[in-house]
Amino acid sequence: MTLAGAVCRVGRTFRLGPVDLSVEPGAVCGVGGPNGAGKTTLLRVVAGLLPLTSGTRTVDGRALYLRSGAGARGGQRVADAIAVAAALAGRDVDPMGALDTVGMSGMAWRRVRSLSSGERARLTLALAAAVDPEVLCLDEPFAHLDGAGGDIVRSVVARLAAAGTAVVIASPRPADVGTLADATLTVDDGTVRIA
Amino acid sequence: MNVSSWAKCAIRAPVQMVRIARRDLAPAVGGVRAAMTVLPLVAAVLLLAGLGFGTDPVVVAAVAAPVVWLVVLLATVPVARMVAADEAADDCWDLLRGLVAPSVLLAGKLVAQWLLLSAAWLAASVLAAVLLGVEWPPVNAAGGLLGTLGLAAVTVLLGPLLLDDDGHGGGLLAVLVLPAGLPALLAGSQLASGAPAAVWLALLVAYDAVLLTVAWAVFPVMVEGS
Repeated sequence: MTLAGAVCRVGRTFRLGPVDLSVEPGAVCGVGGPNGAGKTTLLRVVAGLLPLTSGTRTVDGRALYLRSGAGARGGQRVADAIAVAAALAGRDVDPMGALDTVGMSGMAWRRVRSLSSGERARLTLALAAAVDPEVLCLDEPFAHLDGAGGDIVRSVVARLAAAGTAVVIASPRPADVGTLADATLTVDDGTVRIA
Repeated sequence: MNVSSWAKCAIRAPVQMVRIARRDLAPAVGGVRAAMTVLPLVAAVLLLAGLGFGTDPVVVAAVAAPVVWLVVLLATVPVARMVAADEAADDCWDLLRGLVAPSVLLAGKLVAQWLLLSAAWLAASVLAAVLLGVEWPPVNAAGGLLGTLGLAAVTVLLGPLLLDDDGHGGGLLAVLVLPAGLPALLAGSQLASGAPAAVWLALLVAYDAVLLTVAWAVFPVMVEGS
């Protein structure tokens, strides 16, 4: 994934960039910075969800943006949410295996709307593992999670990166990402710097 | 994109389209609560609107077809939320955008909307036949299918507008959709009342062709900006 001179204006006042960034397959990139600094905007630009005002974005494969707790309909059963997302990505995945990686195999038949915030955050990770995109942007994946949940995030990210997924993780607390990140960026008022 | 990648995408697109449509239809098809609330509502609207024109069976029969199409037009507003607003409310819109090309998303959503609006039209037509004693001509079925296809294209086209719904989105959509549904209302009503079929069917075909073309051209742009 490469951004070259990427600028993205959001609304009338906020501008991200210009950003020059390259994330190689298997690399993990942490993104820190205070609330409202532009972390989410950067991740959505990387995932191709926000159009660039200027500059270019190049991605070899599928890029996915997931906020903590996102990706499953409230009325879906947990296993169905995994199966449908994987099928839309063209992958034949055993939902139970994906749920097992996040410690949720016992919740396969529960409705998503009945899950707690922490359980939904873990389900988001299971969705990411099931889809297995080339570029994965996780927006505050540690939100709503306890210590064990944080370990699950790091475990899933390490597994995906080892399989070749480029992972970009935004978190206001760099310590959450820990030693997982190969590089860490800081975003402040739309300006991206190497931390 | 090389030939192999293109072929994979071409094969995967119809499968993705069907999965999106099934995913959208699952709550409606599987929900007993939806059937228990929607059907009585349709019946009540038909009876009240029909009786609003009087108790003369001839008059009631004459207004039955327009009332059926008004019911379908009113159904477009809540159904249009399924295109994007309900996805965003569940925080799924970004995942869908990441997994599926806009053209496939359009096709899947269009199929789901068409089936739902066709079901609403069918339910209203059957209830009108039972409650108001109306007999529909066979060509009415073609009018229903073509008219609801055009309306489905309108709802898919305007559905992303509800993404930034601040409580006024439903009203805005109604203002936009209801005039856009006028050709379906006119032609569908005329076909149901036994008017010469060729002209009104041609109008519906043209209506569908224009709306589908516009939806195909504009929907990806709307999705990108959402």
